[in-house]
Amino acid sequence: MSLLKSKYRKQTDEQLMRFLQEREKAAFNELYDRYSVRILKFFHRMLNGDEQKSQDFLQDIFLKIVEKPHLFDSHQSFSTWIFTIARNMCKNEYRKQDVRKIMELKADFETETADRDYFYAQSEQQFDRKQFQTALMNELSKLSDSHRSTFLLRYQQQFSIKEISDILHCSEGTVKSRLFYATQKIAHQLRKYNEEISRNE
Amino acid sequence: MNKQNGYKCDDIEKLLILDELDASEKSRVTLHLENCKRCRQFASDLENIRTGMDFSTEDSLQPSPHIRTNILERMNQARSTKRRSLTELRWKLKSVLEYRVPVYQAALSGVVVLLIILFLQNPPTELQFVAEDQFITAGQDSLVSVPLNVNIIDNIDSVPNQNGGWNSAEDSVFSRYIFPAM
Repeated sequence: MSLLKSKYRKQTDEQLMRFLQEREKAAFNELYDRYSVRILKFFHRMLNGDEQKSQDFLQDIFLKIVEKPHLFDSHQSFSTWIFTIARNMCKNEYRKQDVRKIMELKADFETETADRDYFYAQSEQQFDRKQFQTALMNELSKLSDSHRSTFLLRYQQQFSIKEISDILHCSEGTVKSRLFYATQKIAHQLRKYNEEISRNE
Repeated sequence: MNKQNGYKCDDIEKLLILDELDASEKSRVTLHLENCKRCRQFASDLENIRTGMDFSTEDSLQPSPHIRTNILERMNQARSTKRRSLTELRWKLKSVLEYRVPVYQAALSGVVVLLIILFLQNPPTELQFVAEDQFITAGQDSLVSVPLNVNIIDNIDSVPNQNGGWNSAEDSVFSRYIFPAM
């Protein structure tokens, strides 16, 4: 069994998909190990921290892959393909429930909370990275869907500009401008937190 | 707007954000950062964002263990459904072959009765007589019998065909009527 595992561990994602098309469970397990956490965290951020929904989406995406592995084009990169599906699922979800409005309201509320936390932390001199992360996620949730997905694919998932343009089906120039806008905006909003971190370090 | 080493601060920000620099760009950006406080601050902001975004830092978030189990279960179900449908198909074929299903028995007996009736009405010897009656001999010393309704082809000197006829029309006449009667 462990020999079988190590056999699959050496395979590329695309080769594993070929095995999955033949209903190999070990191939599924290996792909799941490689991508489940990444996809879950992407969903978590895209769905504004809704953990339950992120878990449901994670199950759905892997079910889709298992039930329709023939839809994967072997000339394509698996990671690009799976993130394209993940992004489309989030897009459909926004459309279906019109969550943007709810998310914006929630984001406003959380920003207020984060600001309050920030001032408490400042007064107690206990500002740490955890709070910075919370503030970062709040700023992220205020971005539009396209800016947020570009930002997440770049900084959370470490995709190249070219890969992001493949996932989002847009030009590299568009990716660059979205990334530039989103990063500048977030950096500007988080300047006060960054200064605090620099002072503490 | 600060301009150091031929780069404006905006350009530096863009380069830092895109983070796909070649060696020469890298050294020029480094040189710019040494002399520009604003860009140094931006680089530091960006570094904090990158660290904050690193998904490995969200340790508490892990996939629910049920997900893997559910998917594997679904894979098993799909496999057993496929196996079951194959077994069902095999059983149906077997039923047909062994006449387990009444409708096939009835249909088969119907076909057999029909064949017997056809055989009794048109025995093979009668077919030969009918074929012979449809022809008249072209002459006493003629070797070939020709049916009345067949057009005689002008080019009668052409090379005889496989069955001894002069052309394809005659050939079919030979094969259909004359040879069986011989």
